[in-house]
Amino acid sequence: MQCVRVFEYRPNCSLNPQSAAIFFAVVAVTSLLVAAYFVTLGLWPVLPFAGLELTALGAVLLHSLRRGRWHEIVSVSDGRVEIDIFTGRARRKIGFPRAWTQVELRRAPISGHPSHLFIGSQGRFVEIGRHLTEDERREQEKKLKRAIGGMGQSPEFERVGE
Amino acid sequence: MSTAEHHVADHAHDDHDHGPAKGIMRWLTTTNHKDIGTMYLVFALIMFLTGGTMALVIRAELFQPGLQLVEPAFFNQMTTMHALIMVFGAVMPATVGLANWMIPMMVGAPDMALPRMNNWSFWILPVAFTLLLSTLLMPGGAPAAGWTMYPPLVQQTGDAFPFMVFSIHLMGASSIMGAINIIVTIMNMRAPGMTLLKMPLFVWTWLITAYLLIAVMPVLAGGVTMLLTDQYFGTTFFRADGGGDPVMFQHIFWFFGHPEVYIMILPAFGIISEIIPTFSRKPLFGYESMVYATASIAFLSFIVWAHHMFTVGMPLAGELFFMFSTMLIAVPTGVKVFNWISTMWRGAMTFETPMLFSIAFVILFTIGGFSGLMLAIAPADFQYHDSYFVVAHFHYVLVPGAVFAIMAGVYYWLPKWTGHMYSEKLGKLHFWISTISVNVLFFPQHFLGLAGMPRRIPDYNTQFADFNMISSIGAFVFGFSQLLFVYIIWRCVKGGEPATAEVWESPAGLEWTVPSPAPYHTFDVAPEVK
Repeated sequence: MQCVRVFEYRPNCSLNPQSAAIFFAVVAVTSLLVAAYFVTLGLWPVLPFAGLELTALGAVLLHSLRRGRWHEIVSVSDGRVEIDIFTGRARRKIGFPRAWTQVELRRAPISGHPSHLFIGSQGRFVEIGRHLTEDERREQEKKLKRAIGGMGQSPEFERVGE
Repeated sequence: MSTAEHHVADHAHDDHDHGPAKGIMRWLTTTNHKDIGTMYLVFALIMFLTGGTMALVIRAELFQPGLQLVEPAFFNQMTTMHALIMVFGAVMPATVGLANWMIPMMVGAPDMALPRMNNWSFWILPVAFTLLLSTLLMPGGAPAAGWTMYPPLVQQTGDAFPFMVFSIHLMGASSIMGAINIIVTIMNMRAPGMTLLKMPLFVWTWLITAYLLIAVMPVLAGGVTMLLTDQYFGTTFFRADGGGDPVMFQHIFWFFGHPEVYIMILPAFGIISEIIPTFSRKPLFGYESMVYATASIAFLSFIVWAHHMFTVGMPLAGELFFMFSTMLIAVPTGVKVFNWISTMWRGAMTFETPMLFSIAFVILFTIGGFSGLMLAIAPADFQYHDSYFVVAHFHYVLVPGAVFAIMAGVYYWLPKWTGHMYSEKLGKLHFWISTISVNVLFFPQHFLGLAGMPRRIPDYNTQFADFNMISSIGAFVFGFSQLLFVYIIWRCVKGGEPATAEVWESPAGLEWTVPSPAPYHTFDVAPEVK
């Protein structure tokens, strides 16, 4: 039987799109009612500020929700490493032969910036764990390296060798 | 056979560094909520001391009748700058600092939702206040028309006028970014199981505060922009000579200004609601009613603004509406006071410094609330309006109210931040000096107001001399006792008895499950809330 280890990276997102929409509507209705009241009194400059602020809030909520839909699954089987990346509705699937797969933690060129965790082989790499903290990324690098093994190591190869 | 390894992690952390960098760059570039919280708190403390020094200039001048130390124009600059600095530079940043430190830990998130914006929203503040303080050196001096900036008086400000407007815009932008960040953190980054009605009261009060900020900040921004265009671009929004109405500015200002009062006090309610249960060793009485009371106060804050301007002239129906709506605020506030007292009732109470400040808050804030009720009575307000009674009222709400709650919060969470216990002996000394002196400072002002002493005057009739002298003595004792507060914090940061993870006896909340000091990255894996 084939042994598969699955690493799933999913952000903790306590807001669903429906409650985000309700929340935004409550804020927007209040803010726009206030602004509209002042517009009726001739004090129209309140409106652009309200619009600006609601645009910022909306953009931030949307951004937060989008990132909440980010979802990565790394499946390590005897012969293959499969990576599924879900970004909202889009899904990207990439696979590598396990024996030739490398896990690399690349430091950012600028000090203090986050590192990047890559999985790939033969010059083709895919980044995972962008939403993790630095500590989490380092920990996952070690775990993935342990699970995948070094270059040329693979249960499939070992079975062939036997 | 398959093994699954599910890793649950936060989603907003691609910009986190590998722990604190060294030197000044750590503070300039940090995106860590604890670093930013610390910066907000230190900034607020500096502004508190700056605004406090201005208050001491005011009280030194008022120590005796006659003009003693400063010119009347400078006196007015001091009253205006003191208010702007205390409201926007001390109280608001202090509560944002506490939010930055505590909200992610309380909801089980590793950081704020938008760490880079968090850094930006802090660093706007020193720029804004440098601009504002620089006006003291400009021709015509600093703004002197009061923090309410009523036209046409404010338009007589010298070169400082556009700087004041721009600095207020910057403060507003900073507040809005902070509010958006807090909202998204609370809504989207709560740990699994942390439902809305399981959130600590401090988180709830901040969520509602952030909502208020978003609702009213555009009104302030629009208002000061119209002042600017009236001054420089020929518009006449508030200029009677062009068909505008200066009284409209008062409406617009207080439509912002009254919710602003709650923006300062609601987080204070949240802090007190965290502390009293811990030192009463009982859960908070009436948690849900506290949430609903907070929301009710926030709603009512939108429909009471004209009680600040009863004497400006408005229809009788308007006076009655604003009188009754203002009185209505006493109901949810009464619910809160009742719940705090009920939490203490038959609790195994101990009186550590945070609890002492919290009890003082409950008593002294209630005094401020009662004088507020007196001011809400429109016919009585015609007598009290613009008198020292008003000064006494709002200082009772803001100093032994909001400021005491912030101090209580600092003492309560300081061991969690630093990993050391502060000196309880010095903390209690600070409490007693502050509490006695704050009453010596502000209580006589009630009598001065009732006897007819107007606010914002550098000189006064000799009949007011005694109470003014007592008030000034209280001011100096209160002011200098805050140096003790600074020393206690400094000593605690430097060392002291190591604090345990829980710090206090069985406190409730996720923040007490992590070691003290809280690790730079609090939660590697989101905690499960039962």
